[in-house]
Amino acid sequence: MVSRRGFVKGVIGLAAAGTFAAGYARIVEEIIKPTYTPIPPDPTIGDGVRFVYSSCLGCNVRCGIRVKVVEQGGVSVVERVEGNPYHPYNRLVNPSSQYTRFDPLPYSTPVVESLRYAGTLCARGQDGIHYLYDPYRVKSPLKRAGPRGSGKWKAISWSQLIKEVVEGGVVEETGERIPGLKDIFVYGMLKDAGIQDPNKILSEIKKDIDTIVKNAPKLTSDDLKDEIQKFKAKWSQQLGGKGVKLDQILINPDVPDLGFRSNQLVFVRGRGQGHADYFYQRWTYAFGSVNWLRHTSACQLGFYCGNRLWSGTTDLNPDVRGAKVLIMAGAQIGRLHPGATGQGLIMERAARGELKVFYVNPVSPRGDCGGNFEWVPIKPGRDAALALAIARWILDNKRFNKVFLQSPNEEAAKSKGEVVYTNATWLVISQPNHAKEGVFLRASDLGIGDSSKYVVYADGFKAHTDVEEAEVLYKGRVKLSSGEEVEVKTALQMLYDEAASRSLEEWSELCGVPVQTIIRIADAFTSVGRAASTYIHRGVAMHPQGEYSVWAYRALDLLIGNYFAKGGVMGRASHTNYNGYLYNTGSSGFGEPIRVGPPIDRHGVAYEDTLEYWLRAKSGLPTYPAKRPWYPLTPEESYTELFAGIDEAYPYPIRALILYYANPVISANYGLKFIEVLKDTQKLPLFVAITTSINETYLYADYIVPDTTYLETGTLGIQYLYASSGGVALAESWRTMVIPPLTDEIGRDSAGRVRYASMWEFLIDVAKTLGMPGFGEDGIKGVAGGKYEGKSFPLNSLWDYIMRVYANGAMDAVRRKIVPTNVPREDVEFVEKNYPIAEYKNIIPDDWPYVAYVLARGGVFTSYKDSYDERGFVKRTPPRTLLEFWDERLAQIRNSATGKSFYGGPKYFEPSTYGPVSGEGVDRWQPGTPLRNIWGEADYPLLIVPNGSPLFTKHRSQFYYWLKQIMPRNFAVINPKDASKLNISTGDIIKIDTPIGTLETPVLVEPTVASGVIAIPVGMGRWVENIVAKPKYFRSADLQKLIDELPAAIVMPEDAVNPVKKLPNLVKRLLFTKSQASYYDKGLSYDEWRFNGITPNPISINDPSLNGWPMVSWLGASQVYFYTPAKVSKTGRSEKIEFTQAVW
Amino acid sequence: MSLGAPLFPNELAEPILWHPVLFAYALVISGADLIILASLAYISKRMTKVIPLLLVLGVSFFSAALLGPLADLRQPSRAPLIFLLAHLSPTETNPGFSFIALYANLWLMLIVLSLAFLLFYQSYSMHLKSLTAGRLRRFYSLLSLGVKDEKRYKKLTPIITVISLLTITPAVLWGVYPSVLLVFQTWLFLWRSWVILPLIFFADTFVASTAATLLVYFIVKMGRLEEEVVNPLLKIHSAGCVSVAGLLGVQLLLWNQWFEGAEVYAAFNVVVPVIYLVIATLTLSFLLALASLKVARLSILVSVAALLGVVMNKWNTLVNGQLVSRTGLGVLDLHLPSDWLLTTLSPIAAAIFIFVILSSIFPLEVKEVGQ
Repeated sequence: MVSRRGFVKGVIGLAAAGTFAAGYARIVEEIIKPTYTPIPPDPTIGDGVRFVYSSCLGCNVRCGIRVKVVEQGGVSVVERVEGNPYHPYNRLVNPSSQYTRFDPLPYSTPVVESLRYAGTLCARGQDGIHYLYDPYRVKSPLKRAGPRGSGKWKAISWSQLIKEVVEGGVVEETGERIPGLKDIFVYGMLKDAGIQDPNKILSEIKKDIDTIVKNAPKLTSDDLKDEIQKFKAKWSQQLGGKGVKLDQILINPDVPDLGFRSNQLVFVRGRGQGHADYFYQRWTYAFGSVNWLRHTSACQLGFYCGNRLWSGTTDLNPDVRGAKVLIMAGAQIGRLHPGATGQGLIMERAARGELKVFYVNPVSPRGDCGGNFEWVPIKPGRDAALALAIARWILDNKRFNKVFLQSPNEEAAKSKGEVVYTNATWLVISQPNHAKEGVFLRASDLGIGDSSKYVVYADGFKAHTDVEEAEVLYKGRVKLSSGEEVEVKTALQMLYDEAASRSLEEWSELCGVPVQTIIRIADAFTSVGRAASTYIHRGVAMHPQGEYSVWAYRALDLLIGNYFAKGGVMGRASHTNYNGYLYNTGSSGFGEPIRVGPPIDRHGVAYEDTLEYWLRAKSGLPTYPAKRPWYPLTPEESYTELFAGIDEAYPYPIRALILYYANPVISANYGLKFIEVLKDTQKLPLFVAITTSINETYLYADYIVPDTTYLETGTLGIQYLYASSGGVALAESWRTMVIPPLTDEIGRDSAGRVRYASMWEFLIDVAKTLGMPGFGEDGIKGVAGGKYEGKSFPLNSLWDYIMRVYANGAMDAVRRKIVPTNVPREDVEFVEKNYPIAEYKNIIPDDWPYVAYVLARGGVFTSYKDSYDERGFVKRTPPRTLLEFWDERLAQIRNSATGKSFYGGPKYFEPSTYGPVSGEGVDRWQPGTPLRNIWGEADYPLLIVPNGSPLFTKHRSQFYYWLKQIMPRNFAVINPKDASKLNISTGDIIKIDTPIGTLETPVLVEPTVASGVIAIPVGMGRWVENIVAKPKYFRSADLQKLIDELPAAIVMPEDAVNPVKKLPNLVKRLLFTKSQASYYDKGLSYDEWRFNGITPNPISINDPSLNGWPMVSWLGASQVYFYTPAKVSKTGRSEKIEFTQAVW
Repeated sequence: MSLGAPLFPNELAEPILWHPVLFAYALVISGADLIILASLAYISKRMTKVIPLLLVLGVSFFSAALLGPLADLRQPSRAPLIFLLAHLSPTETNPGFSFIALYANLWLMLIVLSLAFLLFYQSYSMHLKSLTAGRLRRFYSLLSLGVKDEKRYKKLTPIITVISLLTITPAVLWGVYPSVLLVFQTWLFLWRSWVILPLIFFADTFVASTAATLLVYFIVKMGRLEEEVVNPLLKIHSAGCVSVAGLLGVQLLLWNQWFEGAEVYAAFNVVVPVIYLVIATLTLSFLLALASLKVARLSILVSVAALLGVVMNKWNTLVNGQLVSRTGLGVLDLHLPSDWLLTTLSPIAAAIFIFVILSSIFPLEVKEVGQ
């Protein structure tokens, strides 16, 4: 008989056992039948494991990486990418002092010992594995098999690719004839005509053209036309004797300064680094074209141009290791050099109280480092207002470095121990509307010297070379020797008057920064001697008036005299003579054809220096507006003006475009506009794409050349580091091959070495087929004065080139005593055992040990502590010793639309169009119509800021599989104040209207963006990645047809893509944990994650004063990303944003 | 969701790491406190009547302790590796040591000791049971460890005393283990800010253990309670309730002192209301305990109120504590697998089941030798 107690106990026991069994059955099953396959860990070192030091390409920063490669089933598999402890950005992680990661490993440390240490590396760098192993990669050459943009492709052989690109081909499916490069290769044409030295002819033609251009201002209309006719007659006769017509050589003999027809080839690169850049520049110049163009307008052109105005150089930023105060404006933490990894140093120093950072940005930083990282929210486009307010406070309170500024010449400055001087004391003619307004007063104007000397005020007007010191703040009137009296001001006074044109309260109202904050920033900035600096980038510069804003900030650096000082502003570190120490591996000096003419984007050339201008001027025709703007002061190239130039055949029509590693359609503001050009076979007869995958731009190509990634042979070579390169004297990052390329083998060179499809081999084969100088058997010359002087070496494959580049760098590093003359045998053996590049060591047998020493360390690096002299200046030579508060060249160039002069110094401007659209500007110096007069705040109360994130900086980033799991998609972010006005909350799908179109996206409501701003983290919203997925998230007001016409499906042979499928199954499963096997085994299988998210670029701003082309800055032709007016409304729909997805 | 200030992207990427099954784990390790109480009772010769219950309940609960983390593992079949390959001393390549592995081994040690304590303590009872056990005679005789008379049993006293002494240190360490582990997780804002959590946890396990004992005792005795057993438990329980409620109050004051006015202060809204509820519930349990000293049958309410408070407190610490983001500026949504409740209950059920088995073997009331 069971007792009552026993019964209760039994029931409880059974219930408990049942509950346990039910709850634990799954776990028991997992224990008994594990759902995983036990796999022994991979070896960490020893047989089958290789380590290769190289250089990252997750972004443009060029960090050092160490890559672990493991042999699995006969396949080399990249397993891990980590930081290079020798590299100044990656900084050694020492287990005993993990929080003091300032110093890299000493350069002399044996490489085997270095394996005990790791360097830091950002998440993107570590995810580089998925760039290499991207199922969407193209392996084989492709040719379009339908109309442009049809998405129909067929595989062709390498030899057919080369043949058709050179000689032309036919699209069999449509019957279209595609022209070849041979038709415009002028050098080859002359060679074919029997002219032994084409450069002799080309040089003489150029000389005649230069003479005509030089004399044009002095000639009458008839005389000028007569000169041109004589030129045509002369050269028609001389060339005719060889069976060549002048119009086969010149683009337009009636306007000969447009140059040779070779200019009708345009080579454009997007991401370019190290010797990839030098190599295709060499190739373009060997073709004889002036059109070697870069993507800089989409990158940092406004920043470059703004810096160049005052310093003569482009890339300047602070020594963040030595600085005590930084004004970090428009410089995204985690993005700007030294990147997410290198900037860890800034955060660490700030957290330790060694550094105060004022983070001026409409978007907040990611931490406050104990209050030392202070967010200063600012209204987009109003940076100059803040900079000038700070300048005003500094000047009002005499907190500037007067001793530095009052030296009027280099000798005076050097006698005080300075390395540079400024034109602060030079007098500018400031008489309004005077013919010389904005020009420096010359000694010759006063009869006190010649015109090479400037005038300063030092107890009277004196030549700037005649005094040691002069007044920095002076204005007055002076009587010229002509008898005319004019107003003059010192260059610094020009700045002061601009700064004092508004009160601090008025500047504060403009920029949105409280007066007290402005004063605090100014006070801090001037309280630490020279160890303060501005740290600026795209957010300041990528506006219509961005260059003026850059200069306004940099005027603050000038005021405290921090240039090249420890903790101050400086340029890039020095590098070895990697293109000219032993071998000429550079882009000129190898017998390349003579080039003449302006580039298609008209950068670096003034309209007023062209025959077009003078022919119109002399004929009494209106000279303004020019058909498109010219940009004489910009240092690099512009996407907008490239495509507008092709579209409008201005200054001349284009015949061929080779586009490398770029995607302007999605990466430029309103880049959709470029599709119109890309689709038009009349305006662009030949379009060759060199790429790892087919993107929104390459969809319209005629030929696809498969390229390699940076972990194979892509962008191989030596790379300088951007400013300020960790503040060290000399640093360069070396990129080498980690594994052999995954693209098709295309043959072997004469030494039997395998060649793989890539940009390198494509250009070499085209060059050799065309007979371009600088390539082939005697392609590389020994450098004069070097040990190979008078010798020639072959350039028949990538290896011929790149090994000699390495030899240049290593042997120069030996000369500089950075690399020892007795290289340890172990270091060489390490490289020979671990590095695939060692297979080619016999190309440079004598220099190999030294090359191996540097390869073993991933570059040449010097230490921070040895990089400064006893005065505290960095041991580098400044690009120019004169720094400017006023630039008379700028004051003299003219707006191509209006003919009006530009203002010659730092100044606040409202963002405006290039030319007037309606009404007058708010300032006599304002070039066009303020954008807010066109698209008022009543209609568009917000501005879109497409900010970068530490995770995603580029639209190509969708292959970063691990990053996509952290941040699967992007969204718009708005401030709670704006959200509450619109009754919007997180997760609502909002509609963003801009003057260009509409976009729908989920929204995140956070106080991490300033009120009035819609932040959209960039890097997503793709619609072509081999596969086409028509975007539904935006509609373009004017160009929607281009999107509607996208093909519904692509046709492409599966064998031509996806190098991943050859990997061992286990590796594939580990690489793509979230995907079905079809994604990584087929290569053309749709993966939603590759196409999710949004980009605001398709609906970003254009310039109505320039035929609606994507808006660019007035001076630099830089893309304008940060000033798209917008309004927001609710759609009534919503999409839950998980907190874990709110990562950006 | 509204966030107050800058965020660290990489710190928001993770949903809750430790699932509620660990909350069950935190409850069953109150078995360690029962073992402590049993040891102290044995050594001090106080509350001797309740030692068998404390010991059987303690061993039952503590033996199920690792079922919680085992269920939380992504690969439970690899669990034995924590004993076989425990990283208990630092090496050059792997500095530090594994706190979890140390405690796993400590668990093994304590379970062996407490089983030894139980067996030695019950040896004479087992002999007596073997005499009337019929077919199970050999089984009970085996459990008697050869003790066949009171004299021999008395000789075991020093051994039992030593064993009971040895159990105290690992049991105390286990009593505070989860809380120390949580406070060490400095990546979670709330846990690293909950600085007196070890103290709260330690006191809380006494509340849980005494409440559980009172409940079991009530069920076992079918309401016929003996003051001699109940009252000491109620006194310990009351002290535990007051301590936990007081310590939670102190923690609230500290947070207020440190964070009031800061943007992160809003993060505490996730846990503070629950803390007030816990304080209220434990205060109620305390008051009921005082009343139970007069009316013993009320002790069932003491148990229920206390266990309710303990459950809320554990959930609040473990689950809600993980929901506050690493920056302290945002709150995660809670996503749990569909079978979370059953999985969470299963270690507790296992503990109860073990108790039912052990209590069938070992008597919960032992007549003291010599009485």
